[in-house]
Parts: sequence; C-alpha cells; structure tokens
Amino acid sequence: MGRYILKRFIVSLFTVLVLVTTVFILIRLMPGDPFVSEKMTPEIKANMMAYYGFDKPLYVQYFHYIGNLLRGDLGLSLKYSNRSVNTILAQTFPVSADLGIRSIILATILGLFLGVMAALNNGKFFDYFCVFIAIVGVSVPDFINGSLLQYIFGLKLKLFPIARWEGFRYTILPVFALSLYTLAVITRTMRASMLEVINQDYIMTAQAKGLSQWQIITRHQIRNAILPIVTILGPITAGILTGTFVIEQIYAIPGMGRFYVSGINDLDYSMILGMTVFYGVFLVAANFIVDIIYGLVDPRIRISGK
Amino acid sequence: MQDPIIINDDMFTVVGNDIENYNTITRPSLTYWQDAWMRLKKNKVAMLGLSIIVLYIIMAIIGPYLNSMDYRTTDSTATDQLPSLKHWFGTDSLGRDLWVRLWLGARVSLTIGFAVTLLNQFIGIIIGGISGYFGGTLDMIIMRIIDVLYGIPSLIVAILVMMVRGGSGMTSLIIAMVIIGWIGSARFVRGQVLQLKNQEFVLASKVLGASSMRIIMKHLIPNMMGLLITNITMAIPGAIFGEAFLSYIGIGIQPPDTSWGQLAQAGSQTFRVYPWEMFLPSFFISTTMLSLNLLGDGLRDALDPKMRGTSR
Repeated sequence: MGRYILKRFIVSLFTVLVLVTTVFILIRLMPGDPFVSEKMTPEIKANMMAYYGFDKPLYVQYFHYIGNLLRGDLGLSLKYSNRSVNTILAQTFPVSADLGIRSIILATILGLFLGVMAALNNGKFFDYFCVFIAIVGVSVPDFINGSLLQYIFGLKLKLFPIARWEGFRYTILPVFALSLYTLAVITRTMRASMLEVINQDYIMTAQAKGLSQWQIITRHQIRNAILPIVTILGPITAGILTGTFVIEQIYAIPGMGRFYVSGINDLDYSMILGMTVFYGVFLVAANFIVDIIYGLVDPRIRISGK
Repeated sequence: MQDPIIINDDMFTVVGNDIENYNTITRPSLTYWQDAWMRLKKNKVAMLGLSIIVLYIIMAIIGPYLNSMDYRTTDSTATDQLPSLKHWFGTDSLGRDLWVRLWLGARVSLTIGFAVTLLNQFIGIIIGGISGYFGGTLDMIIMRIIDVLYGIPSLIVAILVMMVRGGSGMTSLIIAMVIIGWIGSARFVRGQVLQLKNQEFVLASKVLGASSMRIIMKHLIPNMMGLLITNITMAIPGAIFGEAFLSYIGIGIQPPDTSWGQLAQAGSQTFRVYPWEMFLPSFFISTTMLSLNLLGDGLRDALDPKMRGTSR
C-alpha cells in the first residue's frame, strides 16, 4: 500500500509540473498582449513590461515563476492592478467551493437513492422513471438547464431569486442546475452496479441465512455496489469544476469561474496561469485522494501493492 | 379435486422421421453484424434515437437551402421575431434568419462532434494498440505519459489551445479537443488488447505463422469493434457538449459564423426578454445528445455477443 501511494504521488507531482510548464508556454504563445489600451505609449508599455518582469528571457521568467509557485505566490493580476491572484483566489474560491460541495452532496445523496430504488424496483414504473431522469440528465448540458431553471422558477414562477449568492434561497437553483449531470451519472452507475450485485451468490446465501430484507440491502447489496462509484469520483469532480464556469456566469455568482473566463478575454497572463494551476493542482489532488480511497477499498490493490 | 388426466395413445402422433432433412438448418445463418442489426431494430427507443440523428444530419445538409434567407444578412426592421412564414424559426437580435443559422450551426456542431470523436478513437486505437500488443519498455513509457496526462482537465487544455490559435474556427476547435482527448480511448484499447492477445485463437493464429499486422487487423480489431462502436456513439455527445461549452463561454465559433453553442451563447444574452432564441438551439443540442445516448445504450445491448440469440 505504501509503495502504491508513493507511486501515485510521484505521478501526481509530474502531472502538476507538466501542466504548469505547458500552460506557461501556451500563454506566451497567445497572440496579442495584455497591455492594450488607447492611452498606452511605448514608454509606459516598456515600464509595465519591466514591472511585471516580461522583459527578461523566457526561461528566467519560467524559473522565477516556479520559484514563486513553490512559495505559494501566484503573482499580480495584470487587469486588476495591485491585486494579487492570491487575493482574488482567497475571495472567490470559498464561494465556488461552497457551490461545488453543495452540488456534490446533493448529487451523491439523491443519485445513490435513485440508483438503489431503481434497481430494487427493476422493470417497474419507478425504474423507468429513474432511467429517464438519468438519461435526460446526462444529455442536457449544464448551461442549458441552468438557464431553463432560471427562466422557469426564477423569472416566470418567481419562486426563487434569479441571481446572486446571498443566502440559502439563492443557492437552490444554481446548486440543482450544477448537480443534475452528476446526479444522473451516479444514478446510472449505481443502478447498473446494484443490478449486478443482486444476482450474486452471496446474496442468496444471505437470504438463506434468514437475514431481513433491510439487512441484505444495506449490508450486502449497497456496500458491494458502491465500489464503482468511487472510480467515477475523479471525473465527477472535474465535471463539477468546469460546470461552475457557466453556472457562475448565469447566476452572477462571485466565484472563480467568472474571473477565469474574464481573465481569458482580457489576456490576463498571471490570472489565467494562476487559476489554471490552482484548478489543475486541485483536480490532481482530488484524483490522488480518489486513487488512495480506491486502493483502500479494493482488496486486490491493498494486498498486491504492499 | 381435479379430474385425473388420462393419457392414451391418441394423444401422440409421429411428427416425422425424415432422415434426409435431419441436418438441414432451418434458420438462415446470420453474421454478427446482421444479428446485431436485427436486435437493434427491435429496440424502439434506440431506433428513435437513430432516426432523429439521421433527420438532423439530412437537415444540416439541405436545411439552409430550403428557404431563401441568408445566414449573415442582418435586417434591423425584423429583429428578435418569433417564427413566421417568412422566418420559419424567427430571427436573432440582428435580424438574421434563425432557420438558416440553426442548420448551418448543426453542420458545424455535428461535424465537430463526429470528427473529434473519430480522431480521438483513431489515435487511441493506434497508441493503445501498440502499447498493449507489444508491451515491454515501450508500453511502460506510453503508460507513464498517459498517467501524467490523464490528470489534466481536458476542457482547460482546450481553452488554452483555442486562445493560442486565436480562438475561432472549426479546425481550431477540433485540434483543441483532440490534443489530449485521445487518452481515454487509448487506455480503453490497451486494456482490450491485453485481454484479447492471450486468448487461444490469437495463439492459434500465431502458431500458424500469422504476422503481428495480420493478428491486429484480423483478430484484435474485429473482436473489439462492437465495444468501439458503442464507445464512439457514447463519446459524440461529449464532443458536441465540448464545442457548445467553448462557444458558450465565448472562445469557440465566432459570429457571423455559427454553431449550436454560439447560437445558445447569443441567445443567452437576451433570453430574459426573448427566451425563444435560447430555447431553440438548446432544444437541438439536448435532443441530439439524448438521441445519441439512447442509440448508444441500444448499440451496447445489440453488439454484446453475450446477448446474442436473446430477444429474437
């Protein structure tokens, strides 16, 4: 197990390094430059370039950036002068994390419940209903269901506020819109996995022992069927993360996604670089944790990797 | 009490004792693909999905020519209109005809969806196939590279590539989504090849002196074709979503060119007042993805050799 963790850790470190290097190079290859405005004279521009260190050779900038990164410094934003990317992240990340975590919790609880209930009612109306929800959920992109929910429940029915992030009532629509896809994936996976477990011999053994239906479902079926869910946790986190980009825009939520998208449009080098690195490290860390959890629950890895 | 059943000789007749026709096969023998197609035809939901996809593809080809409008001519006297006899799907905020724009957008979105998926699978088959079949050091190097790249969020890479390429056009979008999009398919193909290459029929072929090339083309690829086709069908909605997502956040197709994602983005600007312009592309994006998912589910069942002979 120790060797397995070490191996995953080294791979994760490499992933981060490759990501930072690629993004660094790609950003400098982008056409245009961030200091475009009508008042800009060549002198001011040269001063600006010197201030942010863009006049030095690229490799010096690169090692400088890596050095700063190791100290946790993501640099100054070019667009919002005098605000560092760290400050912006410190303000916006809690909001995005709040939105993301609420969505994951809602999607997991509801998805597992629907998946289990669908499998237990296999072939009946409720099963078809869950399958329908699952397939619609994976087919409707989040920017579409985000807008639809906003239009129907916010604008027409006026049940919920249409935008901003100021209290529990404000969170309901965006959280639901963001979680729908994940909810569908979890429902689908859990249903398929439950249906497989239900026909296993050990379930018959449990029935023969005279266990109650409830005990069989909770102890034997759900516990065994939940394994595949762990494997899809990584992609789910990635999906939720990219989903926040558009959901935050639709509902005017002051999270990271909006700054990332506006950074792209303004060619704010340090903002794009900083946010991409942050997203990347976050996702790599999430994948790393998922791998460890999977190693812990899957006896094949637990034993072989000692 | 039930009457006891009386069995007598009258109840039995000789059906026939036709020695000549003893070994004739009464049912026509079907190839794997005929059999799969027969089962797919029985699956009404999957066939509905297939029909919708075919309909959209036909409309993407002929749709723009069906009325006399042009996709880029603006008309300030007829902006934000609802469907009418002149503008079958209404007009956008610059007065451009949405029927023409929608089907031109369908061309772009569907082309990107299919092209990205096919390229990803093609690269994945080559890299995953080499890695799995030959194994050894080469496999180790490829797998380490894949391990490292797998953790990188593909949409973020796509965003960066779009910006480097100046952020517009179909080719840029395809490159952006293929650049690390093949990784999932390479992992899948490698796993399949590892599983297949130790089977007896491959060994038999090797003993008979078949070359690696022949084994790969004649044995390995046909044996995973079913799963590959299912995978491709299930991956197209992802690629269509990718295009729509990038265009929606403003770095995909740029107007006056159009795609479903770009139409949704344009519609979202005004959708509090004119929701129709947002709903229209949304409807087509969602139904396309839905149809492909339904078709994919059906194909998975139809192409699964274990299900062969069932549901006849």
